[in-house]
Amino acid sequence: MKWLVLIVAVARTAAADPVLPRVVTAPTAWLTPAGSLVGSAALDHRGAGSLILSYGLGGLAAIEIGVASDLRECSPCAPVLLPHAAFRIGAHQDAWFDGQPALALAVETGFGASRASSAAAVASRVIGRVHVHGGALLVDARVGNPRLGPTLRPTAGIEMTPPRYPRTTLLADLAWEPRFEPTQPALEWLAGWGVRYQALHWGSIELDVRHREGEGLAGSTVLVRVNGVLPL
Amino acid sequence: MKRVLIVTSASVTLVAIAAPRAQPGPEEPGAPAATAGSGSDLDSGSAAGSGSGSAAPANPYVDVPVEPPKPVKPPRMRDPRINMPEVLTTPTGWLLPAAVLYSRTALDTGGGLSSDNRVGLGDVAEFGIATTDRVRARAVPGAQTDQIEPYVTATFRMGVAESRLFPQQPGLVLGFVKSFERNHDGFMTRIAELTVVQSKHIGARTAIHLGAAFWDASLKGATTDTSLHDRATHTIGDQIRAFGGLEVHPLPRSEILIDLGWSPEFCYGCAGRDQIQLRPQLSWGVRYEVADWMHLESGVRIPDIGAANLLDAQIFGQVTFTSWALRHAVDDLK
Repeated sequence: MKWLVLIVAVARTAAADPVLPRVVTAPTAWLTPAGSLVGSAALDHRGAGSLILSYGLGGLAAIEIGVASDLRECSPCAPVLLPHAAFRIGAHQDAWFDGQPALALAVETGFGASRASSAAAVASRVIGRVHVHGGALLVDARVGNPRLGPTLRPTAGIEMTPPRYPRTTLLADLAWEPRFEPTQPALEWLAGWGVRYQALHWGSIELDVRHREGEGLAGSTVLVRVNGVLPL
Repeated sequence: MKRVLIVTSASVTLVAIAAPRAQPGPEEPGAPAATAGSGSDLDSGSAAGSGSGSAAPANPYVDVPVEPPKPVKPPRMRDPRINMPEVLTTPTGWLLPAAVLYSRTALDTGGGLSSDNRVGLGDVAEFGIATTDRVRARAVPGAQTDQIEPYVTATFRMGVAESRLFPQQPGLVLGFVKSFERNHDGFMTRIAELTVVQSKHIGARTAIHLGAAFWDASLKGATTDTSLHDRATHTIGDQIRAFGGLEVHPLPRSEILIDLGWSPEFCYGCAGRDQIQLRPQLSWGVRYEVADWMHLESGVRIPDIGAANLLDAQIFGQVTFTSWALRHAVDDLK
């Protein structure tokens, strides 16, 4: 109980919400600020990458469009670059009551014959120098006609900024993504960790490592990502 | 005597008309140099000093053109906020103000592009032409549905504004939407929807919309000729649906919108009631007022919430423009 009181007391001192919608892969509940554009571009050592833009809508929601190669098509398995769009609606920290975590409902859907959709309910909270994220992810995917069916999985993430390095943040998360097998989509977990360096007040650069279910350590992906916030 | 009077009056009138014409106007050629000439003469002192009379002194009270004072226009008051005629996909019980123009263009991840253009008529009605991407079709049972687009519709709505008849009276609107005939994959389809909807503000930050719709649709193909009003296959209950929506205004320029509506779905290879069905459609999103005349809306639409198919979910974005320009032009003419 004392710990809970302490957590809430520390949480009350939280400043304005951060803005990035993902830890490494797992979603956060942070919303893009109203009228701002948040962009992320990533490239991994296999040449796959992503480009995602998110626009903040009225301080209540954000719309996102982009292309990403997080999903794999297996025969043999290789990342596949797919376009997607997402809509996130939510509430900032302390919007309804003191100590309330940021909350977001995010729906993401892809395009094309083989595609994945997900709905995530996520809570995020700044507790001192730590950002904690947790939620539930409902995922569905289709390869032609065969479907995975709605499948529920947990998602979590943590970000920590060491006091001696205020511009550096350590990241770790757990997320789930569909995998397009030749006959039937399957679900696989992704564990990610990395470091984000806030080089500029509007931009940061990350070095991340991502492990996938069914891949050995040698199959891990190393990626570089840059993030930027542009008020319009 | 009478004749003399008439002749005299006519003569006086003619003289009165002719007299000013006989004098050159200040701008006419031949008029004495009204301003520049007389001024220069006076400045040089030649006219006043020499007394030669070559340039007559100008009479400033006659020569200075007197412009009638312009009527002072009262400053135009700020245009009031417009209550939108649709939540996200369902109609509201609010009408556009008279001569206000409304245009909405939407794009979604299902590949749908739609447009809706309306004009308010006399504060009691509105008329619009739209293309919708809500009508869907499937070839055979179990197959994926595709949007039929463009599907062009015309809309006429009439009603009474909120609190017009008595305090606390909700806005009430009777609307009719009728499509043009559409040929898709060799099948001709049409839809029509009669709605009655009421909308009410509850407090300053919330509004609720409730309505009922009476639907009709027809499907004609090589061996198919059916409609929703065909009592051999459909009951009247198949045509009547309730719909509604909710608007919450948590921030001054932002609204959260949720609505539940219905849209027709055709199945070309089905039989009986399955050929034409109404599917429940759930939408939620946010409307952001970028400027008085521009709103951005975005959200999620699930075309058949009954199937609970997450893969069917569509993310949409739309921009809405409203304009009081026509209203101001009309007001200026009065």
